[in-house]
Amino acid sequence: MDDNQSMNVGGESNPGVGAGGSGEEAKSTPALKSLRMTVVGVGGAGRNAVEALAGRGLEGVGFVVLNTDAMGLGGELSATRFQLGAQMTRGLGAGGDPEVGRAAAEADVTKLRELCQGSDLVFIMAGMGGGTGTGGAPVVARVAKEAGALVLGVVTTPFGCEGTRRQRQAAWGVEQLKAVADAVICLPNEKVLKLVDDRSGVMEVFRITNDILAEGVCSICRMLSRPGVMHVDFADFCSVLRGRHAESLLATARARGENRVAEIVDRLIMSPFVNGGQGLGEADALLVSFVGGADFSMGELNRVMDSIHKHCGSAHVFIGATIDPTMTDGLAVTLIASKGGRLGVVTESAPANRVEAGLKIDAGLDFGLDKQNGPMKSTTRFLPPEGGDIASGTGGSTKEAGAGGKLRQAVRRMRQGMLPLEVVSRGRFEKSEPTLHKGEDLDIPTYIRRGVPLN
Amino acid sequence: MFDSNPIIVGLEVGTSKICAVVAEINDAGLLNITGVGQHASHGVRKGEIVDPQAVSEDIRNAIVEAEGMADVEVRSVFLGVSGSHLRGFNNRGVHPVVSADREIGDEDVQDVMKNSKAINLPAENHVVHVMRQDFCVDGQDGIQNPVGMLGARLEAKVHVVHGNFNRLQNAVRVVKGLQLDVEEVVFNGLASSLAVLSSEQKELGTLVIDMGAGTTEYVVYADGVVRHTGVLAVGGDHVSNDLAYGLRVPLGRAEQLKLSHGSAVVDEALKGQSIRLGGDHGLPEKSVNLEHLRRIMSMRLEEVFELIEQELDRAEMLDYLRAGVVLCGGGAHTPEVERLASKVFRLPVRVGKPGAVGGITTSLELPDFATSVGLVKFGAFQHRKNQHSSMRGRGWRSALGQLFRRGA
Repeated sequence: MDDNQSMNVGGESNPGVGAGGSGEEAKSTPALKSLRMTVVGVGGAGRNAVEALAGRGLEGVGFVVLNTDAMGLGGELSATRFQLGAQMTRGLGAGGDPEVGRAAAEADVTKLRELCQGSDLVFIMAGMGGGTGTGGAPVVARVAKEAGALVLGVVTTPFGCEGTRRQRQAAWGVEQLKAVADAVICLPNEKVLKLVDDRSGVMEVFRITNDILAEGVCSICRMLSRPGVMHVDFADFCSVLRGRHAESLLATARARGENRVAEIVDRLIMSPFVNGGQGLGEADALLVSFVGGADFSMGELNRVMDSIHKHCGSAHVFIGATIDPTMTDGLAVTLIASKGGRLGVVTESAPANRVEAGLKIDAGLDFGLDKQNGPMKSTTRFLPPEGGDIASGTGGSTKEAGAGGKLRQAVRRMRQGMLPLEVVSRGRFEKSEPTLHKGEDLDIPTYIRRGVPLN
Repeated sequence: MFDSNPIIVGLEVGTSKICAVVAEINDAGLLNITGVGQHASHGVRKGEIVDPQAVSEDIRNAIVEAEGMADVEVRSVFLGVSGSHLRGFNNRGVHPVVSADREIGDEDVQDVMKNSKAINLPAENHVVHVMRQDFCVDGQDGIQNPVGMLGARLEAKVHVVHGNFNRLQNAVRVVKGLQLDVEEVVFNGLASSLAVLSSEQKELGTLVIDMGAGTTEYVVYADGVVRHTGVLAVGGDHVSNDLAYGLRVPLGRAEQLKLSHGSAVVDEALKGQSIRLGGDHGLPEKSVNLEHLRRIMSMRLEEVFELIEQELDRAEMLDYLRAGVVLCGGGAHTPEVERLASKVFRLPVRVGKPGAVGGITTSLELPDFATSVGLVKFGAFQHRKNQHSSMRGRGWRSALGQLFRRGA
């Protein structure tokens, strides 16, 4: 199909693609290499997302489905399916325990390495909060990274109604994944609920979620594989995302007709990731890819970029544009933003520190994870291929002593995330129990909780 | 030795004031208020007692004042309670009619009421009220009095108010510590609605919101019976606290400002206006932005109304409110509060005052006293009910007991 041809063309016209595969140890002829992408779905939700993606007819992308639950491996698309931890769980699931998921993935690390070998870009799709996805995704990410790929996590976090325990497990899983993968795109299911009305069926909501994820991944794949008028190649992509270890934002929109620019801008800003422009404000690197028809004009590009620039400040912007003759009168825009600000100063080894600090602090909270040592070991074992600081990478105690300064810095950073913005003294209500309503402390003045500024 | 006229005393232990109202049932059987005693309340927060000793003092002062005015000795009170632990819900009881001719008799009604009181409550909860709503005979709803009707299955619908036993007992203990008997424990919201609603309003359907200092209680009446009750532990104190925080003034000053300049809506014409606060006690003179004051207050009050509205929406009670909303309690004095409530509920709103009780002076006709007057009204109803049951000859023992209670 179209994609196949463009893949090769992309390989030929862009020697940069080979350079983009840097960090990959085995390939030696960069000029003729074409981009190999793999999508790995971990856990039940991951499998569903991959199924949705496979239905879109992406060529040149390999699909892998991993699960501890043997029944959760079935499906219609042709993908490599592998059961994690077959000995351990014996075909049963992880039981919602990320520890089991992690152990199961670790048990089959060699197979994982085999699956990821040779890929330049690995997407890891999972639903955080349960067992297999939450525990297994970071392991797969690590293996993929070690195999030299650029790793992009595309995950969902649970609905509010699933309870705080799952939310916390999900948050932990996302942190783990962030530490290992180059970038993580997180879609909270709650945000999807805002897009649909109450009466939609459950299947409908999940379908929409999977669609959003699939659309995002698809557009990235297409952007990287087609040649463009202004081409964003893999190297650019890497520089936006590699080594960030933070959350990225992904938004896609397509529209047809006269008002397509306005519609697209609206949809991008309203998309659950961008959150009305907030996400963009914090970004420091931005990748915008346009796919338009033969009538795609500079004016349209300018207008979209203007609206985007309104929200983000001084971000490094990469713009890519491709012409697809079938898209006359239509326009599709993909926006990827990442904020790497948090780790700007700290070196590569620090992410392991940060996560460990996070775990240490969280050990105080009841996480419900029985073996804290397990996850910590996996992060200390991870050292980025560029050769991080070995001394600070091994042994919990030396980390504390030697990298004391970094740890403190990291601890402070973790803590800062946890304190509320404004510590409001409860005045008259200091000594009485707070009035809680749906998780809100009603003793705090209403105007503060609603964020109404008084100038 | 025997009092000629039975005395009913209502005691409200509120967050801002403690109020005792003494009334007697005169020969014509009408209720007449003879004395009122008030005292500022110091040991109560959010409707619940946090300092029993201070509360005990305050209650004593209030009772003494009321006794003085009414010239009687108070022995027992109807105690009004509130607190976030109180919850109300509707329950049903079922009873098959056993008599051969399928006629429903008094015993059937009693049995079905007993069944409806069999509620599965958490261990630490205690039932405060079981209020009869209506009956259902063989599926036919809305029956007020089923005695004499024919049917196979009798159902009773009741509204149950329950709360945490220990917290209720705290209040009861404090009162008992003053050598006073507690005749009954009454939910404040219920008392307020008895005081401010006419029977017509109860029939058409009204929401009563008692805006107190520590709590806001709300009761929905429809078709003459209670349909929904609830408590929100947010009150006037929260407004003062918000103002103290937002305007950066001490709490006492915030209260004064609330009373003198507060309003429930923000007028556009107010931009830029400010109030000068005189420097006293060595504090420098300060000016306070009027618009901020109104905005802070308005947001808090609006939130309270919105929370109530959401709760009623969830319980599907909003459709019953044909006669609108009645506000009472100290918070009902807030200027323009009717306008704000009207905006939130989209219903007509008015401020209610206690009425239909004799001997009530103009000073008592304020919405602040709705609860205390209501407690007395509740007491009168109970008294009348007891009299009827004693007249029917049932429970001569309890009638005798009443004689002794009244006399001794």
